[in-house]
Amino acid sequence: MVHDEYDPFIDEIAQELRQPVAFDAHFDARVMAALSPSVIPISVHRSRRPWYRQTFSFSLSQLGGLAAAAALVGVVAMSAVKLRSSDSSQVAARQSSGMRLQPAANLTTAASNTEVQQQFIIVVPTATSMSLVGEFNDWDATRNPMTRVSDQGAWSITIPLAPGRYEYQFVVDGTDRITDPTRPQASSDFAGSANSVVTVESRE
Amino acid sequence: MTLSQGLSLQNDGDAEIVARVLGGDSAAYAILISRYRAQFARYAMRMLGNREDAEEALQDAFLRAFRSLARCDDPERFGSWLFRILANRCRTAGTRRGRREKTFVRDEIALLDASEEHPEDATAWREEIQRALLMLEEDQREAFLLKHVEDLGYDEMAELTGVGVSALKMRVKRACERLRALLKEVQR
Repeated sequence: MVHDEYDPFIDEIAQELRQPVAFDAHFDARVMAALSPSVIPISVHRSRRPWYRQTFSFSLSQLGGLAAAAALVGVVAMSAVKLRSSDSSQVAARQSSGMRLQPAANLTTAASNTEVQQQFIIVVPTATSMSLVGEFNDWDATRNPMTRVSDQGAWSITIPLAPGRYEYQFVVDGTDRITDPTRPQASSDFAGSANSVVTVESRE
Repeated sequence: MTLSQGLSLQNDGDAEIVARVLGGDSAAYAILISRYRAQFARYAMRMLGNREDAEEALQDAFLRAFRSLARCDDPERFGSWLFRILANRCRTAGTRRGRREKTFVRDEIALLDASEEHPEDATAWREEIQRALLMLEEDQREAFLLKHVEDLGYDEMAELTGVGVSALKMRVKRACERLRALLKEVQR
């Protein structure tokens, strides 16, 4: 490495230019929202494993009732690789414990023939807890708590689902229920509120 | 010499995050964004001169990196790889703007001039520096930022830019001379 002669004047300039620059508070959420279905990296991963067609969406929207709590909401629902339920648990456990992860593609060897790993992502910067509820868990907010995966408020959960159509919602802080603005919505449930709809396709 | 040695990048654990993203956990990419946003925002801002262009360049760099993540040969050095994409993006933006760049610089200076009504303001000196920086040739500005702000060595700069070390040294030298001339004038 070349060391230039120290110049206090240039150093003073550099010190000023090293001062931090603040971006829009929602910059991270905007970038996540811009990720599109055609660019899932797993489809071009050099793992030599078969890749699976995936759907992916992510968007932001103002939430009226939750505006004070969550200015931006983005949701991703993505189908990825087939995993056994036990494998899914292993992934979650590893993520939460900070252990070294193996790519999910490495966990497909004993995959079930029916279940598809389905990921849900939502960005709610000010939420203190998030959970996923739907027809697959009897709308029980305690069964699928989501994990906060970034300082900017991205929450994620991945669950195995058999191919089919499911209605679901997200629960914010254990009380407020919100839908996925990027997914189709069922008109309303028996309680009068709309649900998001995800269709899990067979990977055969 | 690796590119990451000259950068204050937090590469610990990047490989694990990259593996998660490649495994289908796209949400994990938000961790990489939050990890590198601050430092790279600074570079983009200093290089391009205004927040809007800087945010656009950095967003584009993050998206390009996501799309090409499977081609990141050394995930432990994701930050260095991403920085290279950003630097290329900033250079491309400058080239593409062409004449608009010159207009932009004038506009930016006009904006900065407007703030000089209060020279006692603590930010005045920083604004003068940014204004002088924008008056440099783009390749000189890039070389100066990489050398003196991002603290890269010349070998690392050569790896990043594809420009020879001697040419980079000349760019840095001329940038320093120009900045000194512009800013000494202000100090008088």
